[in-house]
This record gives sequence, structure tokens and C-alpha cells, in this order.
Amino acid sequence: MKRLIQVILVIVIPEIIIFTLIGTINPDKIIMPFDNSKIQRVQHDSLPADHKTFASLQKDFKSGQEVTAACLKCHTNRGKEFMHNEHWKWLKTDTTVNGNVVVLGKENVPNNFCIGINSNEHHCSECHAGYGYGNKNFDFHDQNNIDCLVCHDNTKTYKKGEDGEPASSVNLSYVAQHVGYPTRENCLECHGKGGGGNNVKHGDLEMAQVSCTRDVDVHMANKKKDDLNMECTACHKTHNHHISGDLYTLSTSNNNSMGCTQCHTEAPHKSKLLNQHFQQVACQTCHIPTYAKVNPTKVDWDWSTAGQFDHGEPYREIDSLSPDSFSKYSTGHGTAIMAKHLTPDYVWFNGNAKIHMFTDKITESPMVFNKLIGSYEDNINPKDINHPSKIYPVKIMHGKQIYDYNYKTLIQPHTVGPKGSGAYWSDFDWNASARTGMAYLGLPYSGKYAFVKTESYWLLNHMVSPKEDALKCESCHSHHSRLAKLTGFYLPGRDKNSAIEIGGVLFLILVILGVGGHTTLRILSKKQ
Amino acid sequence: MKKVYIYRRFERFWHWTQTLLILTLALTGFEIHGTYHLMGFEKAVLVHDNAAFTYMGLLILIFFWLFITGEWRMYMPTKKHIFDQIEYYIHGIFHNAEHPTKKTMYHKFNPLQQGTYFALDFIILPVMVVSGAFYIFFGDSLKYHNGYAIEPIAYIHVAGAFLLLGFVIAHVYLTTTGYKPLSAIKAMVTGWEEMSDEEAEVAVRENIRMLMHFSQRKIMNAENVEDDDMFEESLSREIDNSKAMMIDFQRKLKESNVGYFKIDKEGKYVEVNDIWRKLYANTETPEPIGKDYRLNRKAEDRKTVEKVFDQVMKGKTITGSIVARYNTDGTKSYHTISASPYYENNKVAGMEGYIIDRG
Repeated sequence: MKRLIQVILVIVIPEIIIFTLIGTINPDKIIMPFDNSKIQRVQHDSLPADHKTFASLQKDFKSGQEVTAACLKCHTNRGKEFMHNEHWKWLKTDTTVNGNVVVLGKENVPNNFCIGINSNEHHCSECHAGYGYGNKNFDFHDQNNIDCLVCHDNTKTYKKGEDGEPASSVNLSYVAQHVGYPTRENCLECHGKGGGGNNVKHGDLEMAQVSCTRDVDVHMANKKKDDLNMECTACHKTHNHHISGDLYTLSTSNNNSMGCTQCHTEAPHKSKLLNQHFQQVACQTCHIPTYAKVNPTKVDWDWSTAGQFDHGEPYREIDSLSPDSFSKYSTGHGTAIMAKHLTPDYVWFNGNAKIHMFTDKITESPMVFNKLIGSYEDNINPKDINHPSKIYPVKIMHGKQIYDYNYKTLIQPHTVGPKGSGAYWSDFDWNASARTGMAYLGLPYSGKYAFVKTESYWLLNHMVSPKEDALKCESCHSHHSRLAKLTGFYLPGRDKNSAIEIGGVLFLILVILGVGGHTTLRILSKKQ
Repeated sequence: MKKVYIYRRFERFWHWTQTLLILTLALTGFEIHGTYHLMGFEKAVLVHDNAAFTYMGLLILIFFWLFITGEWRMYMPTKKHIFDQIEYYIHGIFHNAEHPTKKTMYHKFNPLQQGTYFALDFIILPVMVVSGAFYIFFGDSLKYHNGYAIEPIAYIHVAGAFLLLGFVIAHVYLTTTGYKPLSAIKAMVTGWEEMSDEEAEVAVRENIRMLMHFSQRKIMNAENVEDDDMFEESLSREIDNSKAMMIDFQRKLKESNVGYFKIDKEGKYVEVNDIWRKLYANTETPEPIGKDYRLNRKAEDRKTVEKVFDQVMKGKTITGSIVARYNTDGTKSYHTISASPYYENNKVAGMEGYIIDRG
């Protein structure tokens, strides 16, 4: 009895105490309340005035230009201001990592969706913040051509048609009398529908975010009373019509960047270890676990299959590939794959990109439109100490599109136009389309075309999930790591040295065999 | 069989804490490594770190203990008897040979253990502690680390984990090679190790020798020279004293009323002493050798003695049971009985004990 008590006192009780503590104490937890003070909502200086009663708006506007002229009568300098805005210019000036100044825009940078605007402005300019952009002769210096309403309409009735003119259904007087700060509807009308349809281009920006739950987008959610209900401009802060935010399909540097830390601190977690991940992992990586949460986005566009006919007629066809994806064929567009509930790809990225232009030679396949620059090396020894490479989530858009076989450059096809104009969607003739498009662009075409695989990278910044849905440790620190493709550095839980693994297991097997053999011999010798 | 006190309290505490810590570290470590999914990476990292820091604390206590008690010397590898020990494990153990080295409180390890524990405590564990500390340091300071350091550190840590796991398996197996399969584990819990009489004798003599050795070394004269004269004089006086005590004890035993008996496993008396014969003189069994122990009992008392006998044959020791014996005149006498098993070839061969008359 005494001995039992001694064993309990010396061994049992101390072990219970020690291991209870080991199992429950969490030294990683930050107990002090952390600083939330940075989280503050943008406040507008004043509410927009009620334009209903303004005398200069009490007329029957015949054209968009008339409305703009009326706007500029009071907002005297805003026109000049807006003429520096990329929504107007469709061009921007940026610097490359080498320090070269480049001018990038829709006219000299192709993509792997509809490829390019040149010779197709008639249709593309439905998303241009101007009136009458039907061809390259558009007058970018006439401020009356600015379309104020596309961004400032608060009636949700404004629509644009061909050449960017207001659609005939629009009551311009009614819209002009109800203008205000841009709402998410204004922005998403173009940014959610880029690439020819809802959510086609970005994958994380679509019309569902007009009205969504926290599960879809924790910032833009507005279905419940306590939802944050943030408009686009809450983050994309805008002063004098200068809008913050870079899109890396058309940016080479981060000189206009914005992000989570505008509101959140750099140590927002209650775990020290999680906060340390800020050095290597972008917020988006864990907090945007899936994209295209509601409607499908385009992930692959193969133009090379275009031009097939059904009984001599162009046709369309849709095939389901899985519950979340389908392929779409049309004679004019070729084959596309649409998918939703997608897991992002991940890249090292330091805020700089290399943009492929129409004049650049194709040197590899797949050809990459926007090489996101970054590496693990650049994380630990960053070139720019303020912008080290971090891991970011991206949507990779795969394409296969026309290029000049002899000159090794991408081709701008003429796609939109009437029959006989060489427009591919009417004539289905790649040669004519290429010749017309390239002549319009002022670049040579050798006459021989082929198709090349291409990729473009779309950083995912929207559709941030509620914190409960953020990635768990195992999402990366495991065999099935989401970061499986990011090699060249040791990631605990993911990486193993096969020699040590095999050696270790063999060693254990030898020990067990030795123990088993010895036991057997002992039992046999006892019996004898 | 005898039991000898081998492991002191702190040693037992440290051993079992260390056991649980190593198992916890292995369980969580291999989860972090990605071998299986159990409690989740986050929880596993937390528990692994907590256990690691606890182990560092324990290791400081352990090394402090080893240093203060001088028992670190037990860990220094030696070639002495090493081939005897190897020979024992690959041959002798299958032929009921004696362990070539004996375990005592002052010398717990055989030469193979000495080598293994030296490698474990002075090479593998320090490597694990240092690599683990570096792992935490570089892992925690993502900003400053040179990026690639964590890879070799992790590989060293994992290799060490495999070695430790192999050690644990072999170590648990080798605990079964003691006097009885569970002797070593019981000893690690209670401190008392079961041994054969011969081994126990070696252990006791070793304890005495060590104490004498300490005594001899801890006495010096005014010239700072070990005073062997005083030691020897004291020792011989102490031995005389002990001898006198032993003689006195035996004399007292003879003069006392304690009856001695020995019964084999069939229940037949093998040996009794004069006092026993005197106590049983008035019964039907004055001369018991070769007779059954139940002879001179009535039915209701048989149960009592049979219970005592059965329990002792199961290996238990009985003290102070009261049993009755029947005299020829029909009266009843009582005595208390204390009995314990005796062993031949490691098996219970019968019981022996003492009876004291209660009048």
C-alpha cells in the first residue's frame, strides 16, 4: 500500500500534471488584445448633392455628349482629371524591373481571351468610359466624349451599346438627375463581365457580388444586417479620379498598389506563428481558398478548333465535364472550358511583372502574357526590401491562339464586323482575319499562321472567405500540399528526404525483425 | 528470488517522464512530418513544441543529477565484458545462462547499455535538442533566416527521430530479458528489482563494497592523506559488532518459542524444528515428516490452512493468520502462522514459515 502511494506520488501524479499542461498551454497565443485601430471605413466628405432639382439637368438629353457637357458645366476640372484615367485612355505608363518606361494598354497588349481590341473597338468599347470609340481615330482629347454616367449612374438603368454609346433604351435625363458615387453595380458591369460574359475573365469578380453572403465575399457581403457591405471604392480609394489598384495583366510594377494592410494590421492573427507567415505568404493565399464560388469562370480557350461547321452552318455546343465544369464550342470562338469552385494556383510574386506585347517574339510554349516576377530567393534576399516575394494565389488562364508562324509574333485577328470585312466571327477565315487585324494595327503579317499555347496569370484578390473557411495548416504543410509546385525550398510537412525516409524505415524494420527473431529463439529454447 | 532496491525516486520520475515525452514527441513529430493525420498539424506543432521545451527542462535536471551524484560515470563506454554481454545475447540467453554482469544501484548498466546510453544521452539527444532548437529558431524568424538552413536541420531531426524510435522498440523488448519478463519494468515503477538469490547477493555485496569504498575515501588525517588505519580499525570493529549481533540473534531465536516448518508443494512436511515438535507434541502428529499438513485439523479448520497454503503456493506471503491444532485429549490450541513460498529453479517449490503459540 505504502509502495503504491509512493508510485502514485512519484510517477503518476507528476506525469498527469506535466502532460495536462503540455496538452493545454498555448504559448503561441497572443493574449494582449491586438490593435484593431487601423480598421476604419472610408468616409466620404459629403453625400452627393441631390441632382434631381438642378436646372441644367432639366432637359431632354439627345446624346451622351450633351449630358457630359452639362456635368462639366459645374464639375469644371473633372473632365481634365478623368482624361488621365486608364478607364478613358485604355493606356498607362509603367516602369519595368529594369527601369525602362513602357506604355501598356489594350491596343498594344494582347490577351488570351478575345485577344485584342484593334479593329474590334466597335464592340469592345461597350466597356469604354467614353462615347464613340468605334475605331482608332477616336478623339481622346475631346472631354465631351467622356462617359460620366457609366460610373456615376445610381439608377441601375444605364446601359451601353456599340461604340460605347448609351443604349437606346436609356432615359438619359432620368439617369443624369440620379447620379452619385460609383456603386458596385457600376464597377462590376464591366469588371465582372470582362472577357465576354459574367466572371469569364477574373474568376473572383462577378455579378453575384452585387448581392452576396459572407461565404462568397466577406467584404462585399450585404445579405445580412451585420454584413460589411463594402463598395469597391472602400478599398480602391480614389482621389481626383485617380483610382488605386494594379492589374498585373497590364502592369509591370506595383506603383499604384493597394491591399489588405490599408485596413488590417500586419499582425492580425492571435497566433504569433500565423503572424510570422506574413513575411512569406500573402493574406490572399490563405483567405481566398476557392474562387469562382458562384458562377463559372473561363479557364481554357482554344481558338484552334474554331471554324467547324454542322451541315455547312456555324453551330454551338455545350458538354458537361463535371458537376462544376463544362466545355463550350462555337464555330466562331473554338472550344472553351468554364469551371467553378476552383482551387487557386500559387506563385512567388514581388509586385513586378513582365508583359508580352504584340511586337514581342514568342520564345516558348506555353507563351506567358504576364510573367509574375518572384522567387523564394527573392523572399529571403529581396531586391526591394519593401516588396519581398510572397506566395500569392492566382487563376491561370490557358489559351491556344493564332500567331504568325514566320515572324513568331502573336496575331491580332479582326473578329467583330460584317460579312466580307474579314471579321472571323462572320467570315470564319483566319487568313483574312489576321491580314485585316494586323494591317489595322500597322504590323506585318507573313501570311502563314499557326496556333500557340498561351497562359495568363490573374491574381486573386476578391472573394475573401470568412476566417472559418481560411486554409488550414495541412492545406500546405502536407503531402497534398497546395504548394506542391512551388519547389526549391523546404516546407515542413511537405518535403522529405527519400534517403532518410527509406533508411529510417529499413532501420525500424531491422529492429522489429531482430526483436521478433530473438523472441522466437528464446521461446523455442525454453521449450527444449 | 529476492528484490533489490535499484532505482531511486528521481530516477523513476525522470525515466517515465522522459518515456512519455519521447512518445509524445514521436507521435506529434511524425504527424508534423506528414506520416499520418491525427490531431491536425496546428495542434501537433503546439504539443510538440510544449513537449520539447518541457524535455529541455527535464534534461537540465537529469544532467544536473548525473553530475552531482557522479553517476555520469556509469555512462562512459567500456570494453570490459562487452564480448561476454554480446555472447550472452546471441547464445547464453537461449541456454539459461546467468547474466554476465550484475545490476546494482551504483552500476546499473551492462557494457552494451553503457555504449547505447552514452550514444543516446550524450550524442543523439543533444543533436535532437540542438537541431530542434534551430528548427524553432529559424522557423520563428522567417524574416532573417538564410532560407535553406531549415532543410538539413529538419533532415537531421527526422533521422534522429528514426534512431530514437528504433531505440524505444529495442529497449522495451530488452526489458523482458530480466529475472522474469516483467521484472525490469516493475523495478522501474517501484524501484525494487526481482533477482535470483545469486544476483541479489552480488548486488548487496556491491552496495556494501561501494559504501566501504566511499567510507575509505572520505577519511583523511591532518596531513591530508587518506587515513587507512582508522578506516581499517573502524571496519574491523564494525564487523566484530555485526558478528556479535548475529550470534546474539541466533541465540535468541533458539531460546524463543518460534516453531519452524517447511512443506513441499504436495503439502507434505519436509522439515520442522524442535520448538515445532514441542508445540505439536500433544497432537496426533508429533512426528510430521512426510505427512500431510491437514492431518491434525478438523473439517472447519482445514479451510483456513488450505487457504493459507493455496495463497502461499501462488507466491504470496502470509503473516499472522491464526490456525488451530487438536490435542489428543480433545482440547484445541491456537498458534499464529507466518509463511512464505520457497523457490527451486525459479518456481515455487513449497512453503516455509514460523508458528508462535497463543496458548
